Amino acid sequence: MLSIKGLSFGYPRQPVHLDGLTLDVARGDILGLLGPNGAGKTTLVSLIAGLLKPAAGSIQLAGEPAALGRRELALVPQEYAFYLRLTGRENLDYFAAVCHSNPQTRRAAVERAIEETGLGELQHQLAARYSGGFKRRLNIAIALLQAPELLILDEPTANVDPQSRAFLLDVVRRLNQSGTTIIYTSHLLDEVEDLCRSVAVMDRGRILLQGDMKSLLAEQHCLHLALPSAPPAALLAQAGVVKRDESPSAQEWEFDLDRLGISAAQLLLQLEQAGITPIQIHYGQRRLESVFLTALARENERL
Amino acid sequence: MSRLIASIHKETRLLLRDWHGLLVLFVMPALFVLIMSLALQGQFAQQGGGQLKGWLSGEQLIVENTQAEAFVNLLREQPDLEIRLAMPGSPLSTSDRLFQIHILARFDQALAGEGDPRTGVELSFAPELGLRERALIEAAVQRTFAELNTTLIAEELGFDRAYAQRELLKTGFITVVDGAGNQAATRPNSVQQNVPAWLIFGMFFISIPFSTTVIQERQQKTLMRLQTCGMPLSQIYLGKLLPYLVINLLQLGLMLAIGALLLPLAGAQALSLDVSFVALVLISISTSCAALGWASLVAAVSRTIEQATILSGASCIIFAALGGIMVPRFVMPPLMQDLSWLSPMAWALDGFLAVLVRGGGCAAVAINSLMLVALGGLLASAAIFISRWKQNHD
Repeated sequence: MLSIKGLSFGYPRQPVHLDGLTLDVARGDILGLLGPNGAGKTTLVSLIAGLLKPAAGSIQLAGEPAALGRRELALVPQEYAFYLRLTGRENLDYFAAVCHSNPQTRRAAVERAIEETGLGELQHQLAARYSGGFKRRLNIAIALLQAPELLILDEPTANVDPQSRAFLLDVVRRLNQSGTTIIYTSHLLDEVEDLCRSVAVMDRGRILLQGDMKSLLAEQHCLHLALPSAPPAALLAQAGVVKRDESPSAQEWEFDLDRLGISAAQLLLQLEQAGITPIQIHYGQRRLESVFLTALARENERL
Repeated sequence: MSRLIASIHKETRLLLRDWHGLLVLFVMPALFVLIMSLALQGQFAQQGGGQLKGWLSGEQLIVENTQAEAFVNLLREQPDLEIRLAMPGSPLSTSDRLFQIHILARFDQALAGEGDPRTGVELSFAPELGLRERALIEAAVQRTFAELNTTLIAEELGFDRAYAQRELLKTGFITVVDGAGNQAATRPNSVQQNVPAWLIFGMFFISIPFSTTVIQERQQKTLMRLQTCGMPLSQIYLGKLLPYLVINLLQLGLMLAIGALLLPLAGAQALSLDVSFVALVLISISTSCAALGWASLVAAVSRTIEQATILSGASCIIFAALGGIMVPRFVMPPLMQDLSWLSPMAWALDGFLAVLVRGGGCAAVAINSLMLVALGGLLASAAIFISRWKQNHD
């Protein structure tokens, strides 16, 4: 669906650049695009949407060069990109008129978007009076008016309550099931892990890691332990040890055995010698957060 | 086309729901027109040839069949002066009476050449009165005296007053040309000046709500979303600008109505609308083009709403001060009058005055209109260029 080859771009007087970036998104995929702030995600999205012109490289969208106004692509920015002094329905009517010249197609698109995002009851209320969750729904509904083949969502669940988040994620899943390819950027890694089938990690304008979610998480050389206290300082000082969670009774730690250069048995022995007996042991499945942090740490080490 | 219509429809809805913006665009210039027209009425009367008010005093006035009485009667006929008998202790003040003509007791004798000629008339002025007005009053009193004296000489020679005026004073010798023959010299009254002046100010003031809206949409990524839907930046701007053009024309209607209907009720002169309406609309649309071009540029160069508000407000005030909106151009010194042409508000005001004061038609406002439209086009093009550049460089 989307093929990016050797993409480079730079803003004058700014440190963020895309440097020979390559990324492929298969038709029907949900790709989680991860990266710290300033990694170049927004720049990449702007280039895909045709808002910026690349200095080098190519972007093919559905087999043709990406350009501004391509019908196959819809963008959902993190901001509420609609008019707060218009009702939900008026917003949809306006954006539908921008996307479609045929009045019948326009009406049908609006009805479909309202139905898919559950905006029906509040469609005649001013958007300014919507809750955060409904504003997010409207933000997505506007993108659906185009019936896009590729939908780019930039943190679509930021600042919404758990109930609205569940609904929005459900909307995204249904869209994907109906054949829409999705690029999903978020800082909520649990959400990405739960939703996406593939993931790409980027930093400083480069893709550090890209692959299928299951195979990335299924690396065998990882040990998750629930410990009564922190591991010894000698272990903590090494790369590949990540604290996952903490409760009054236990701390959850993830140990990347490849990076530590030891086996699971050796690690457990070291802990035993330090007087720490694990409460719970889980082997063979990493969390996305660990994959993400490890990729960034390796990049930092490389630089 | 359907996109443009939908954009105009959307923008109109947004405008109608923005009560604060509408108040700024309609109530503010309306209040300015009312306040300034009434406040400056007296000043414009002085500057623009209205009657100057003064007191008349002197013990000789009540005596009938004296030359002093004849002098007073002639004085009352002077078109530049409006005199009233002074009460004891009547003060001189710029807000009411500006001068006092005191007829001395030995007026008749002085006129007949008996005794000191300086014992005829005393003239005193309010301290605030300008030199031009003092000279005008003095000339009017001098003219009255000359007319009286000439009439007396003519009568002594056996001729009547009409002969004295026609043959000795040659009152018809100088012809004052008004209207088409001397258009540029015609000065507006307070209403004729202030109605178009504050209308123009109000029209340019749309740069505040307009730029605020554009920046809000840019920050909220609404503009980006429209662009990704295939709407060109120029069409987005056009869809936003056209409703504001209509707002400007509604401002014109409101200000003219205030000038023609409301101000006379408050004691001011009525604005005559017996003028070329087509020319009035032409100069209004041209002014609107320049104002909208400026608003687009402010929106393009400003990063934040605060920046846009400060830039719009400050530029409007500077344009107004320079362009003869706050202080009429005809009272400015020559250098400032020349500099005032740097302000597009001066081009607009000159066009409005050509229609409202000098009775001009479309031809009279053609050059000003062309300049304003060209400026508007130039500024709007610059705004789109800057917006595109910033998109790729910021």
